[in-house]
Amino acid sequence: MTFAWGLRARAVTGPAWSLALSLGVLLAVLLTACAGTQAVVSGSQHLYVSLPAGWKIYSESQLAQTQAFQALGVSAPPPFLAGASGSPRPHAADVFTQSSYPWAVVLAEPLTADQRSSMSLLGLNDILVPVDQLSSEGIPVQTLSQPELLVNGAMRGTLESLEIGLPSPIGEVDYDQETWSNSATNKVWLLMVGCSPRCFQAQHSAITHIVSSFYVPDRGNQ
Amino acid sequence: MGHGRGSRGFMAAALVTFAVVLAGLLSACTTSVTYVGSSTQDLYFKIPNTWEVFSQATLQENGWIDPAASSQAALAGRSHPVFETVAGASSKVASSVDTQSGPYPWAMAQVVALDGEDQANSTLAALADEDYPIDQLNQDGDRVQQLSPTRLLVDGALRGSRVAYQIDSQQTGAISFEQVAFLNSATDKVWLLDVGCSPTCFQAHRAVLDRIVSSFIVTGQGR
Repeated sequence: MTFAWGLRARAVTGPAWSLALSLGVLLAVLLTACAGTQAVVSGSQHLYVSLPAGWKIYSESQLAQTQAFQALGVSAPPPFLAGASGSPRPHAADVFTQSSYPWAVVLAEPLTADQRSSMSLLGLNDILVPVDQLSSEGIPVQTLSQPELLVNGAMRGTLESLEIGLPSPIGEVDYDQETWSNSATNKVWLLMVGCSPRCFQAQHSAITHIVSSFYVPDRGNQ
Repeated sequence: MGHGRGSRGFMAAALVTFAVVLAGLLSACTTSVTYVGSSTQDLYFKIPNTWEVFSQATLQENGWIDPAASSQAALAGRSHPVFETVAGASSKVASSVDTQSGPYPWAMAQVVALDGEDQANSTLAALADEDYPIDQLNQDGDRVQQLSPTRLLVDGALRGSRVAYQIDSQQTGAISFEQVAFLNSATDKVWLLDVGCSPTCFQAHRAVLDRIVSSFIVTGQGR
């Protein structure tokens, strides 16, 4: 079992939960400011991730204009989608490509009734990139490390590391992906951090650090 | 004298009132249900106190449970039941698994430990197939009729479903059953309760069976 920040999260609901999250987020933002990092936070979507200070963050509308974005499994504008690039000359088009600099994608989206009843732990890996389907279509997909099962109270998730060879403009990318779903199985939260295979190897420690900062609180039934 | 008769009348009325109150209190103390379950496996359900809970030896003798097969599956790292109990409205229920399609209602609770593959692939939809292979029977062309809409359930860290089907296959005969099943967050354990009997019996005992299913509770949030 993995708990973000090494803390055992406790299911708290209502105003107490909101206050706790707000204080937690405020503290995290202050701490990240001191530590040379910046936070991607959505209070309404209950997610938090810490990125290096120099990374450029892009909104969903900026990402939507890129070609690589079309390859991702986002059919309608989700409640929360953001991208980020660690390139010294960043561009939204860097995100989800074989860039020499790491990038990140953060997503929170609801599941349809069909997705809800058919969602398995394995299926969490296919949320943004339909890995299973691409593999069956002959796209080279390689697992870089043993997938991990994550449990935090009523939340369940997976952490996987993949190498996938997609056609241009994406190319060959390596990425770590952490995905969570709630007990009701009506929502998923996802963080993907990656870049070219060479970059991924060189930057793996920084990438792991970003992934381990991803936090979605346990909210019981919700 | 008149005063004495009035006093006796008052005493009689008081005694009757006391008797009625006592009877009411006693009937309230008498349970009409029996609790079945396991504290170690975190599950409970209620059955009418006229029902019988069968011993593991009886269930094993008559093919309801197979501890040897469960142990083998556990050793091989496959999904396997870690708890099974069966109750019925008649002792005849225990006489054979074939009585699942018989005229006496039964209830069967199970806790199943899932192996890695089942853990990775388990879905809310697949919970319906846990005891009776509904999907497979449908594909095989057996008659499968859904008796009520599938209800998805969420109880803290537990997620599950409640389904009711009538199946008519050569393998099982005609059975109507209702099932409630829960998965934990780690998706490594399933708690389920099935109740059923022949379609005619199921119809006749629907209210009782519905109450049994509604009483099913998994404590400890599946940890």
